[in-house]
Amino acid sequence: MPTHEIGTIQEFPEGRGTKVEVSGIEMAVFNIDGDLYGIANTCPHKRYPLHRIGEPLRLSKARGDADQRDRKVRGLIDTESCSIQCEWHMMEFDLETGTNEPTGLMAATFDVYNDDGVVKVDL
Amino acid sequence: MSSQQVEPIDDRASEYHIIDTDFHLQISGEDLLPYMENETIRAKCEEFGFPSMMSSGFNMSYAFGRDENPEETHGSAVTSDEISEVMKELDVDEAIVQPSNFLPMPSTKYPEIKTAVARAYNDYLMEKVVDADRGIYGGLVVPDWNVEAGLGELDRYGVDRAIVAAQNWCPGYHMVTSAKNDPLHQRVVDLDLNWVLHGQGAKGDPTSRIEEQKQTFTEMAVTSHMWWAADFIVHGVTHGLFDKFPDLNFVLNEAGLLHLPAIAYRMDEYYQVAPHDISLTKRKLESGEEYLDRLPSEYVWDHFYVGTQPINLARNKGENAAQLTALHASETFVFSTDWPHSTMDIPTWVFDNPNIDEDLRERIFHENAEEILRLPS
Repeated sequence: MPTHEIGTIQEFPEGRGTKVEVSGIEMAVFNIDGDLYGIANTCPHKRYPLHRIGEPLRLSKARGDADQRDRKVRGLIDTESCSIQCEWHMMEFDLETGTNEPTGLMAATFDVYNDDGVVKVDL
Repeated sequence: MSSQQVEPIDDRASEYHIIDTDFHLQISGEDLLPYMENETIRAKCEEFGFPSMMSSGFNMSYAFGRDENPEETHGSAVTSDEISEVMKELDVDEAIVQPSNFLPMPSTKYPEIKTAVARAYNDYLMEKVVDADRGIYGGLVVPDWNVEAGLGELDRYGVDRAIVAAQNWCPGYHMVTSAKNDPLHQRVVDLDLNWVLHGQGAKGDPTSRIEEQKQTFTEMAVTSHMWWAADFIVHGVTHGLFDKFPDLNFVLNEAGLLHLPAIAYRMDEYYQVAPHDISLTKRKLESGEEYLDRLPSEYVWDHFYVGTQPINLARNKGENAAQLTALHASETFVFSTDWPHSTMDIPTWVFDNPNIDEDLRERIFHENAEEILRLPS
């Protein structure tokens, strides 16, 4: 199984997704408390991208939203259940299996890991 | 707006001109207070708040599994600068701004307050939001519960180049297609405008026994918009609206797509065997005509356009292709996002559907909207 280097650990900030393309495969890599998870960057629902999950939402300064302390983020990352909620329509996917439990829809997952500061994926 | 860099969501969209017919403005009642002219109304609203919408009692958080306001899932933007940044992110080149769900006027009480709010909304829209040079346009809210007030709004802003449509709701309480609104329809036609209607939000009539039995988001979201649209379309057609106003058209946003053929051909079925009460409708009594000029289905395909959000065609390729054909997609689909609501769409689906070729893509993204909306040249 070929191993691909996809960046340094610093390029994969905790608590959010990062888009990576490897051998023609676009995936979103999530860093949850130092553990890395790769999932196809295409939500099985409508094939919209997943990589922005965890990013701050674009909020209005004019309305004062941008100054909120509990600034909202796109989608959701659940560190306890190791799952993500797609930012677009909030479908939840287990990052280990790529599965949405209620529907059985599944996104491909990838073995992404930190090898002494270098992030790698086995395809 | 935050200092986040604008990164388009789908690189493919940058190669197309995209018009979004359903972009929501998330102002609140408080934002409109300075624009409310009547001191009594303004003082009451300032002190005690605005009339609440009739609620069917749903709690969407139960369904979505997270505690949030689904009307603001994707962020907030209330000025032309902020809206422009969102448009860049969505790769939308032109956007028709509409009220967010705070303003489902038909379902609230206090008609004088509703009229004041509609007027204030239009003032806010014109002062702070629309910018024709940046492709930010307005659907002008036209009250139909007060025809005179509606005519007043069309008189005030109807000729402005940033106003591209008359805005109202596809409601469960009033039919905009009613003959009492013909003065509005005539003025809309005279201004070379058409109507853009939005559902009142996925809310049912709380007094209905049928609605009382519904308790899932799926039931509410599936039936409310679609059934209202069906009522609306059938009423307009069978009451001779388009015989009287052959140049009048409607965009129905978030009203669903897949029911159009059912409505069209079911109307044909029943109209052909039992047309003799058409003559009793107000318009036909006035005109002395007995029947419709055409078959009902012809009016559906000629006078109605549908905002594509939420796109929900079949996943199966063959079925999907059949749906696009049955829906007359090349003539009826106008692209819409419904930003920032929780069920929004982005342009991605238009690229990923193998049955949408280049010609259809252009029709959906902008050509149909350019036919129906009075866009600045």
